[in-house]
Amino acid sequence: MSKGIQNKKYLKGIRSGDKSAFEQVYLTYYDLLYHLSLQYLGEKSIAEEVVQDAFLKLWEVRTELKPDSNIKNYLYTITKNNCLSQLRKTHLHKTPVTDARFLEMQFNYEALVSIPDNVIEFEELKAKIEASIDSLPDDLRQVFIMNRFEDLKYKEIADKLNLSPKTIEARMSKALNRLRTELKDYLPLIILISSIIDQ
Amino acid sequence: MNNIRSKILNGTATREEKDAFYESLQSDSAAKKDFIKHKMLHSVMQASALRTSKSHKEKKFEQFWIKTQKSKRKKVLLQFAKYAAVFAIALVLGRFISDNIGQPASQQIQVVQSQAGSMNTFQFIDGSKVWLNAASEIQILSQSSNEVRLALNGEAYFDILHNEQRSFIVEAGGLQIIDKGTKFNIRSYPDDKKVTTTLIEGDIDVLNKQGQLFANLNPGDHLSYYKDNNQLKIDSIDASVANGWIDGDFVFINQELGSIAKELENWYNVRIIFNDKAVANVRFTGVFNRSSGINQILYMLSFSEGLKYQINESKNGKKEIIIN
Repeated sequence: MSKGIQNKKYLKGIRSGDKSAFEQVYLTYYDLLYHLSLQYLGEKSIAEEVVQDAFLKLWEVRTELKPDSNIKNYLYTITKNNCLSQLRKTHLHKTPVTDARFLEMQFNYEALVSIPDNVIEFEELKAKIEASIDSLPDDLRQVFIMNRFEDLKYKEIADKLNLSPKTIEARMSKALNRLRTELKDYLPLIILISSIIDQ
Repeated sequence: MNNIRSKILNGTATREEKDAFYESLQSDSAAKKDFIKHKMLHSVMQASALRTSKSHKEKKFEQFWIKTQKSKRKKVLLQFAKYAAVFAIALVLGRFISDNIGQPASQQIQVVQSQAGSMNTFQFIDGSKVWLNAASEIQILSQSSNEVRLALNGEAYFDILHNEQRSFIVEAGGLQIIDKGTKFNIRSYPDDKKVTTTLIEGDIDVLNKQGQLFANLNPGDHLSYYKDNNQLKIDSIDASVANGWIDGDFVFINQELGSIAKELENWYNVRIIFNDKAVANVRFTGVFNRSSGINQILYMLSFSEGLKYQINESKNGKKEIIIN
């Protein structure tokens, strides 16, 4: 709800090309757009270009934005589409692309196509995934999150939680084993989400 | 298999591991579908969770903002030909002539210099104007009623009123540039490998030292004269770009970093050292506002070219920048 209000707050500034409004919007949405692009394009410089492009497009259409325009969604869909065309470009590369590299592009392309079309559905999906991580028992979940999503190494987690790295390692492997025994992959959410999507 | 899959998703798999993995999926369509779904969900989580530092985002924002302003500024630069503002510091020339009548020519050489970090403008009696870029110098070699002859070391922009009775000649880096009522830019720093001149409006002849005609330029022509092998090249250029420095921009078009560094040294009064000489040959194209701090420019150069640099304060208070 507050995000909707925020959207309106900056909309005025964005429409008039106000630097601080653009800066706020930029700082707010950069991470999502950049890391989404990086996941699929693999190279930082290209991902950065894609993001700049999205914001530049926003700049270009700024005066045409309406009171109900969703800036986040606009940036999201532009970024998603730009990534898709970047992936298609590797297909047309002049130097001969090995079959495996072509396959990689193809897999990435199909995965990206299947990502929600709009940012609202994207957020809903993310919420579902988070809910299933929440269903893990506390000690396992804590370690799992710190390692997978905060990108902390075992030693760093150990320091933070005041435990020995060996304990962390044990907890991680317990969490992964649990997930592995229950399911085919280490992310239990796959099964959970798959069942929701397939319904 | 799980281990490999984690590596693929995290981007830490080797090329060989990736190739083997993707190929193995080809034959198994269920596994392929599964992986694609997995990849999609993983990317949703990563995109939502990963963060970059605020300072990095702020820098990227500034780069973005500069681009938005540049698209505005292009429209302004294109009107440069109609540039009419006059900020001239009257040259002492008038007084010089009256004070020195009768003295031997060799003692009449007048020099106008600009300091590092500044730009000078001056104006001749007839209203012709010259803008002098940082660390540049013009010597007035001779002046008479039918000829004005200057020597340029550095970079200057000339806006010369046409006068049939009077030739206006600039000597720079071994060339003689004869104006015929024109707006043109000349760049000839001693350390540059070439002398360049760009014609905005009018007509100029370029002669060699011996007075033989090298070329005649039309508006929009940009001439490069390579000192070491005496070669000449003329291309077309958006003249407004070559004169970006007058409006307060650094404009580098496919320019070597070594030469860019010299401009920065002059403007910011710093010293730039290349630890790796090869880096000085990297070419760069870009526009920076001169009001940017040296830190900002270095950051942008390092960001786009992957350079690393270090700033030290040396004993005499001058900043020293080391580029790796």
